[in-house]
Amino acid sequence: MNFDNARFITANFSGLQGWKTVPAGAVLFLSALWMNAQTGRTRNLLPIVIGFGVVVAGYLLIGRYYRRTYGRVEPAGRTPMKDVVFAVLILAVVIGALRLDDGTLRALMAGKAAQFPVSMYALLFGSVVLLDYIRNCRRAGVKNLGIFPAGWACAGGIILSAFLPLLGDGPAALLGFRSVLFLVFAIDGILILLYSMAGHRFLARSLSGALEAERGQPV
Amino acid sequence: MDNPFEELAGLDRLIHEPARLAILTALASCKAADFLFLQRLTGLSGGNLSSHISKLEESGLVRVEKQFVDKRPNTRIEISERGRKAVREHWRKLDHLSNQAKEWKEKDPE
Repeated sequence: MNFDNARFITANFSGLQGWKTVPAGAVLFLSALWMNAQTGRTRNLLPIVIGFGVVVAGYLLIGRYYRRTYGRVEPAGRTPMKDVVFAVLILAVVIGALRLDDGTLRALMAGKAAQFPVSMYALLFGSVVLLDYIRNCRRAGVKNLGIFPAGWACAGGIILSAFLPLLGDGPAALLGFRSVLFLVFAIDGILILLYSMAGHRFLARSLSGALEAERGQPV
Repeated sequence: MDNPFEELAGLDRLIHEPARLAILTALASCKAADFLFLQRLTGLSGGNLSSHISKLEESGLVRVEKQFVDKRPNTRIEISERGRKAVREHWRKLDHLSNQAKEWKEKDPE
């Protein structure tokens, strides 16, 4: 029994349920490709609404699978009210950051200098993921921050991707993206997918259910 | 400095038993967890885990609540304040002993 693992998994049980965030990563990636393909002034918002529905439905349905397979953990220091306030706060920050990114996108596509030459969405999102990881390690009393390398690697990757607009549209154009911000969103979608899969793998391996009854010996 | 290995004998065996230490350590990292999670985490059989939890409950280190969730029976286990303090103190002692053991040199018999 690795006690640091036990502490980390228990304190971060919800965050390690990777399949729950696979739809979010896939939708972000596909949204980036879809936005890249859109031209003209009118935009069809139906795919965005459908994507949001898929993310919410996936989160709820896959959460049910995790509860039935791996059980339930009530995190410490959280109440339903705190969760609602936190979710509203995060939503407000994300919407604000996306609006700033939209302004940056319009400026870049019009060939003007952007007010914020970085992706605020990627910067904030990556920072939240990284801070949440560090906070969970601290709360669990885990001294080794490298216990789940994919955690800080993906968060670091998302933060770094925020600075891609500083390189201009050149690298994005090479990959067929009309704007570097679409490339940032696509990369972030892939990183969320990788983070999700790594989280599930870590959880599944740690809670492998290698029960003593199956091993035929007491623990 | 005393021989740290002699101090090991003074550890609370109720908590120090590996399975119970794992249960208490996990529960101290959250508000509560259910039986299935602890079973997955510790790898214990249902009967063995139940027996360990009963011992911890009898000692007032955890509270057990039987409930129905989604029309299914569910056993919720919560660490008590006493249990939280006990496991924190136990880990403090283990860390202390570990540090002592690193520094310890066997005294010359003469």
